[in-house]
Amino acid sequence: MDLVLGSRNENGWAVLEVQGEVDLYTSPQLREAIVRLTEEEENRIVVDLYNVSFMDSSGLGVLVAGLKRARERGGELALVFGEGSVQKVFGITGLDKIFPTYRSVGEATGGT
Amino acid sequence: MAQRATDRIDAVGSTTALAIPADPAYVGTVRYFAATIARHEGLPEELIDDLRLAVSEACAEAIDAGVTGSIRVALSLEPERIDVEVTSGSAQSEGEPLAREALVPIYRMQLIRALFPDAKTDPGHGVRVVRFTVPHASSRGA
Repeated sequence: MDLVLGSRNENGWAVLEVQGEVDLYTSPQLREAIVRLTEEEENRIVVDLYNVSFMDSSGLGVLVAGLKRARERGGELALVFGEGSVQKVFGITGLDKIFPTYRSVGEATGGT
Repeated sequence: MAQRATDRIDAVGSTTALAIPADPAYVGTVRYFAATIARHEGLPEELIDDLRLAVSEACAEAIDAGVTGSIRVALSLEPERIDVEVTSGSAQSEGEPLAREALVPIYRMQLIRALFPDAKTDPGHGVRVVRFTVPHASSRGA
């Protein structure tokens, strides 16, 4: 069970693309990737969860910490996900009201 | 010959159980185990996703709490429902609770209870148990 992470810049945003399952085992990788971006002064971050097939509370905790870290630096952390299990997890916890959420990276970065 | 650390499956009557080490690397195995049984029972995919999430959260909650030893996940197949029981030892003094974002333990039980409202936790003497029921109208005989 691997987590595949990749980052790129798009319209002034750092886009962190995540593929796989985010759980207790893999969430530290996501945490490290977000911390690394903020350490590189990339504080406008889009985390693309569109290809994440599973996410539990461990992933939520990492993203909430990432949002706090980005906003403390005057930035933002936005999320992209589709309909399905990831959306459900954010809906149940009410975190979909805390994060800026979008259906595509283009929408999140203002490119489309 | 080294003994395998996981894949200890036992089946008695209508109950099938898997024991895993209290280690984050094995939580995915529990999800796969639960989904395979649920799929065989004809549960819809959305309900299988809910089951995967709930068993994953229950195991992760035990590991976060510093449980050592093994975690047992048992699925009992009953007419039109699956009874799920996740059992682990109590957190041991030598077991270090994992450093994690403060709200995560709250999210874990919130999610399990939202998905399966009858979910109960029983932190008894020497053992922790999370129980919940997955109701379903099985496709069998439909």
